[in-house]
Amino acid sequence: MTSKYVDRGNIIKVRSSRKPKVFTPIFIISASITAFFSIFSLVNPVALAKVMTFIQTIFATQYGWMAMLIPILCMGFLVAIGVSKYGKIVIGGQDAKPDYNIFSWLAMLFTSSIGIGIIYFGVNEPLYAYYLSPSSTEAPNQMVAAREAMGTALYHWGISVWAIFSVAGLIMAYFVSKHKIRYLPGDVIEKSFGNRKWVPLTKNIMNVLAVVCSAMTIAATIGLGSVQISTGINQVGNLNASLTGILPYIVLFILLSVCIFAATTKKAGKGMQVLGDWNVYLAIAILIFGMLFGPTRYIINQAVQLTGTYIAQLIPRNFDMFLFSNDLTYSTTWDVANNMWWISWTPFMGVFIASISKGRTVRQFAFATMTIPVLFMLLWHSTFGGIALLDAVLGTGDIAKNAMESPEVTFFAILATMPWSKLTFIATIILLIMFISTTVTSAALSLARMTDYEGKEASRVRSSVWVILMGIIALTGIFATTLGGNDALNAVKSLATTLSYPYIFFFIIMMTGFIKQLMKDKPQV
Amino acid sequence: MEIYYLQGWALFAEKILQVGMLLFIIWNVKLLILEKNTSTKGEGVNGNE
Repeated sequence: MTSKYVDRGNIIKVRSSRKPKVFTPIFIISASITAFFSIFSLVNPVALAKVMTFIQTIFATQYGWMAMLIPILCMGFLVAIGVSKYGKIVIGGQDAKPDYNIFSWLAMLFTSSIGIGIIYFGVNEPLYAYYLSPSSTEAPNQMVAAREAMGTALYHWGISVWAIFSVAGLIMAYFVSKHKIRYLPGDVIEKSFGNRKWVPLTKNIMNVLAVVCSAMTIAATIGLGSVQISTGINQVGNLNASLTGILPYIVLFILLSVCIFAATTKKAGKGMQVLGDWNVYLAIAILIFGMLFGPTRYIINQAVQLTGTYIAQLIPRNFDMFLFSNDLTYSTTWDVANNMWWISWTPFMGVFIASISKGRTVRQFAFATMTIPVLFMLLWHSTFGGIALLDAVLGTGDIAKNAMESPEVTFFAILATMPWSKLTFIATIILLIMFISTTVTSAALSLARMTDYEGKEASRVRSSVWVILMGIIALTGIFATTLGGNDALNAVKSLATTLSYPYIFFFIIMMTGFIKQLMKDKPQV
Repeated sequence: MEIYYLQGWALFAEKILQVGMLLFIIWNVKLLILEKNTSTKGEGVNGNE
């Protein structure tokens, strides 16, 4: 049931039914596509992985250059808008007061996005770079190789990632607060470009793709996280073989139950804030513990050197395609794939950031997001990634061996070299559970909001359905992973990355639309 | 060397994809710079709706 009223020349459709509609067309279409991939991955994960890898290879090879340029484009855009007069624009109006303080705001941004990855990839990345990146493998000596490896690791987790997230969030937040559009990326296009012929189709495809892409990305993250939590529990408890096999499923079941509960409670926003804060406190505590009980002097030296390496590489690294290296595929399989992986997060991150950023200025978006989380990542990489690299270059290589054979163990292997390892294992497991819960809950709420008729309300039923659908995909990954190797989880990850390639076009046009809208609005600041 | 000098359908597909992306970028520049904002139909509301 809908009715229409006219507001300042615009005909606006208003839903007048008493109960909000749960099963909206966009929800049914995007959930069906996600369910199709869930079933496909359950029935024949090998075939799915093959098809996705084929498509991904074509896109990565052909459009790798564009994927490399996106982060630098976002960085330039944020700096330009941050220093301009538009930097003073306040999301939600000039008098809007922030819902969350700056720490909680950044904590929620961090925990809902890359937080979960710092334990898995945060320690393994310098090793992968050291063994695989041409800047290390073809370095003239060990010193340069190790320095380049640390620089590459931070490049994959540094400013470029946050620039992409920040632009996506800023655009959504601006349009939602100023133009009252729905929490849907496609609606940005509709608002910016009006009634042009190509707009309706582009908008609908973009909205469906944004939802499916987000669901797949989070599913891969749940899968990776569940396996790692199981590894941690196994390390603490020395469980027998039969229990070890079913442990990931038990972990997944408990996680999903917690997330469904969290996403459907009325105080979800407040709960997310508290969980996000404590998540970051615990991560900082583990970081300080690692710095104190690891090789402290080396870690501080590493942090200083990495700062210099990162500053020197900040701009050039984004243009490095490794032409004429011995491994011509490195750029597409690592740098490009990494950028695309983070772009696949943007539909969900854009919506989530927009929903928590009332009262924040554009300048804060531009500079706070590109500096504070990156400083944390620099210290984290210097500590845990640095210890792993030290072991690979000058030590026994035992820790480094894990990165290639069973990467989920690497972090625990580092903690095992420090005192009170059982205690720190438990703290890490708690950290992982909190990271996954916050990511999945915020994703489910965002997806439920994106698939709402008016793009505003996160219905409980829709939130629960999204948690379950993402859980099924993660389950497939875990199932195949327990049978052998990480290939199945990587297949889910590659599915998300593949779907994000078409999204690259939408991302660019969204940026064009935002600049156009700013020129049109000429907001008074 | 051969990875940059494709043959047959692969060569054809590559040209289409590369030219397509370049045209897409030019189209974005056109939307941004060459089209006047007032020409956008279906709007008329600026500011906090």
